Amino acid sequence: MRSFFACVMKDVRLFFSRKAAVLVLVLPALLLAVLIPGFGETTAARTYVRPFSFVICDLDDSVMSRSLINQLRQFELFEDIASLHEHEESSEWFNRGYAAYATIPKGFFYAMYDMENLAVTVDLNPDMPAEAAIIKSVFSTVTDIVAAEQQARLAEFKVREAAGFAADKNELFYESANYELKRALSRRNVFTKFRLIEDYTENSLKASYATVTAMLCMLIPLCMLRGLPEELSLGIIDRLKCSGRGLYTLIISKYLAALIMLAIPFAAVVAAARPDLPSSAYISALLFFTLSFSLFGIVSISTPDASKAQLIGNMLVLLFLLFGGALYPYQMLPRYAQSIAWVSPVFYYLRGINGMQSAALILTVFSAVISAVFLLICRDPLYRRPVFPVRHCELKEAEPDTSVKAGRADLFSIIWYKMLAMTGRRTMLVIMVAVSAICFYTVDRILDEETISEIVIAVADNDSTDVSGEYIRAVASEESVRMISCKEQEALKKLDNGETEAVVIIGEGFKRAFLEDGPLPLSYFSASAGSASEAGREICAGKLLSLQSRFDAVSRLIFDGVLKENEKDLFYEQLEIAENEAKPIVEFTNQVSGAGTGKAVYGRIYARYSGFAALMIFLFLMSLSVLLSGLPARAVRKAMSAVPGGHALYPVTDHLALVMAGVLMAAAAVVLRRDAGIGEILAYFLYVNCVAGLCLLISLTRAGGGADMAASVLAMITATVGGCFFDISSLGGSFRTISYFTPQGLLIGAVSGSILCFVALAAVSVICIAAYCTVVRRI
Amino acid sequence: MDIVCKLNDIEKKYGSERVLGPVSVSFERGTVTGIAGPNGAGKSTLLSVAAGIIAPDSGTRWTAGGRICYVPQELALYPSLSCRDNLSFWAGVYGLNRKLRKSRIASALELVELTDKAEKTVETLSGGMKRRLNIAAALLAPSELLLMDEPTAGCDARSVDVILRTISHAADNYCSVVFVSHSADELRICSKVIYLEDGLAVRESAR
Repeated sequence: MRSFFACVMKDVRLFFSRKAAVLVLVLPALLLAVLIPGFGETTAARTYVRPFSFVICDLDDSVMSRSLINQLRQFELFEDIASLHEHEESSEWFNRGYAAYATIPKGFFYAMYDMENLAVTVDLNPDMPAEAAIIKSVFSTVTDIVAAEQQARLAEFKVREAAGFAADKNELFYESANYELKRALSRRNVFTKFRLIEDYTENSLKASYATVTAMLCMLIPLCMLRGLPEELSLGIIDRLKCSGRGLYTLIISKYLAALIMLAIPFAAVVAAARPDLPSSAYISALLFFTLSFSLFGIVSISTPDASKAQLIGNMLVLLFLLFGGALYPYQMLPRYAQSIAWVSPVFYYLRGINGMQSAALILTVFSAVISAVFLLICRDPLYRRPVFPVRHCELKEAEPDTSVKAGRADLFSIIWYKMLAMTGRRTMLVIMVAVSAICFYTVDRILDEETISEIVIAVADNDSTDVSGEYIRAVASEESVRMISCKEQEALKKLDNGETEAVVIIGEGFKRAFLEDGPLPLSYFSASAGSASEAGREICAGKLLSLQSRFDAVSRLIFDGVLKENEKDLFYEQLEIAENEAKPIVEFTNQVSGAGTGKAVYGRIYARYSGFAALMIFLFLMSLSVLLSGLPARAVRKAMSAVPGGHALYPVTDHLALVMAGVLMAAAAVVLRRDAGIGEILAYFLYVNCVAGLCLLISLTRAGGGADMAASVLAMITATVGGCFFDISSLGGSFRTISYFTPQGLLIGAVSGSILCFVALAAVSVICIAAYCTVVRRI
Repeated sequence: MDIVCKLNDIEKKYGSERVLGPVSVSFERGTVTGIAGPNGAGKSTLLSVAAGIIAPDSGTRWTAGGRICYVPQELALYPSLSCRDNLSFWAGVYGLNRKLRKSRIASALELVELTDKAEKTVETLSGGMKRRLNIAAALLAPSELLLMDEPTAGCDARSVDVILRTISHAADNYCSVVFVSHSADELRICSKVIYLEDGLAVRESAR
């Protein structure tokens, strides 16, 4: 056992021999320290939109309008409803954080009594899309209920009139107007059960915990195994064999050492976050770690050197996080990304954390298969470096050569080949740009309102009556809703898997309760994701009450003997006429993406496009810059110094090679963004220069050689502090100031048009390049 | 003889420790000069000063003004690039005309017997092959002074032989070649050998 523990200790020492490895252990804890007070609180906004404020300009100033405003104030969702009696500029209120500016026109309620509707205008705040979507849903639903009641009453009046039953129109309309408001304002109570199903997006702290631990479980094995081929080629195996051990001792000792390394920050994260998790969540973590260990072992064995293994590993980590639903919840991913999410181990890990046994089972199978492949590849002697025999050939007679004239250095050639050397030949460069383009495209699709076109609601109809069927058809007729009919357990499973955003369960006795106006056995469960759950709930409630208005009207007509059971069609004919002649009760202006169409809009805290692009460029440039601190780079620097102008040529071409790689990625980001302006392009260019400059300086430090090891964690923490994931100013003014100390914060500022950020990016770039040139000359 | 580089009373210190000099040497066109001596004698420092990579603390350095190529002891090659790509990079550094580049790379590869490995990445080459490629990079452009720091370190007999032939070839092209070696057998091709000890030139033997 001594030799085994000696191997473990050797791996632990090897891990700590690089300063950057310490960062890998320390930074996630720091990341979580930022996440818990800040990100954690803010992510709460992504799952439940926090109470917000809006303005009502009550030009009607009637008893009814004041009553309506008072009733709206009872809503938990609304923090403050400012009431005005004279028109003011909506933009001023928007700047103060109000989500909408609604204007009730003069004579609105008087007109409603006459059914001569005047429209309420609602101006939405474009900077608050999630809140605007909810306001839109609330107003749409309220007006839909009012309109449904009006139309039912009007159709009822027409039927009564046609049948010769005298009816006092004014009294009917007055009763209707009162009933409409009462019904609209009580709509949220139609569900006897309303619950948010707990999933990984629900609990913001759990989501932060999941992201951080997923990173740890991938990065630590990657750091531990990146140099495995070099170690194997040293002849370690042969020596171990002499002492009665072999390959498996080496691999298992590495696994154990990696597990020890993981245990320290993992325990710190668990202690800090204290997530409420089932014990199976920790087994999932162990399985996920085993899977990552084997996977990155294969990557390491299959790549030529440690830095390339790290570059590929970093790419995989990012892809797994993005497509596995750690950076953006699974529900937000576009369809094609959801369909390939199963490839990402992070996808199963996140589900395993929630105690899903199927995910744990898949993780077990995956880790067993990948581990077996890893061990098989390790046994294959192919990993050893091939040695080619030297072929003898005669040297030609030498002649003085005076024909070749050497000129000035070819700058482009130097930059091009340096960039190729950083990425590892052309194929790797193409893969790197392709991976960036895929990620940018996916994020663009996620953030594009067209991708969030509908709220998927699963419905389980346990009543199976004509009334429940009509209700389902009414909800399904809503443009922004896609209904899936299934059994109750299946519906809840779909919700758990993230295939649907809400579940409506229609209990037995629904028809009886509906007709008798009793409490409805209707439940609404939601895996909340931004405003989708709120919007879905509003739609389901609104459709039910609209349906109730019609049934009530028909019931009254039958009760009064105006209609017989088989004459209901007369009412529905009149209803159709009334619907076609109805005037709109609400108009929306200044509509924003998603909110304007009544579609679901997700929270505001996900990485904006520029934030994600900043994160990726930073990660990749840092991974690439490790070449600059390696032995070959130092030898090249020395040899180039003998060339005229070589002292200046070397650092400048270093910088330009990194910039060229960054520009390729930034170009992918800009092209896929489509609507990027000159200012944004310039901001990206300056950002690439700034990050390249910083990477050059890091490459000069002793930890420079392992900069790629810490790249992922460093990229994530600077991205978080820089405000890539959410509006950092929401945590306080000082956070905004701190964000400007990160390149990502400066890029986001520059993209939003801050001249100061442009200047700062340029200044940091110049300072870094100047410092690098000066230091390199002295080495 | 036509002198291409002359160092007079060169002295170099790292901190308070004197690592070289005062030493005076000169290198002539079309000759091969060997520098020998124990570890820490200042051989690499002398070569770096001659190359102009590091500035001496005192003394003067004079060159005829032609191109100087320096081959460091470490491999100045990018492992992930192919032999041809590495040579293209160095051709760019030396400012070779693009039209000439292809033929110069071909002849340099032929000279170090690596023509059939042109498309292989450096990391797949053996140690001796890497050394030869390291030297080939310095032979792409005609130079007046070629300085090589232990060019045969870690090479097998065959590679050493190829490297020594390459050195002779460069000298035949009116280039002054200076190389550091610990092997008396390798130094036999030199027209002059300078022995350094504790930073001082203790002996200079001409052949």
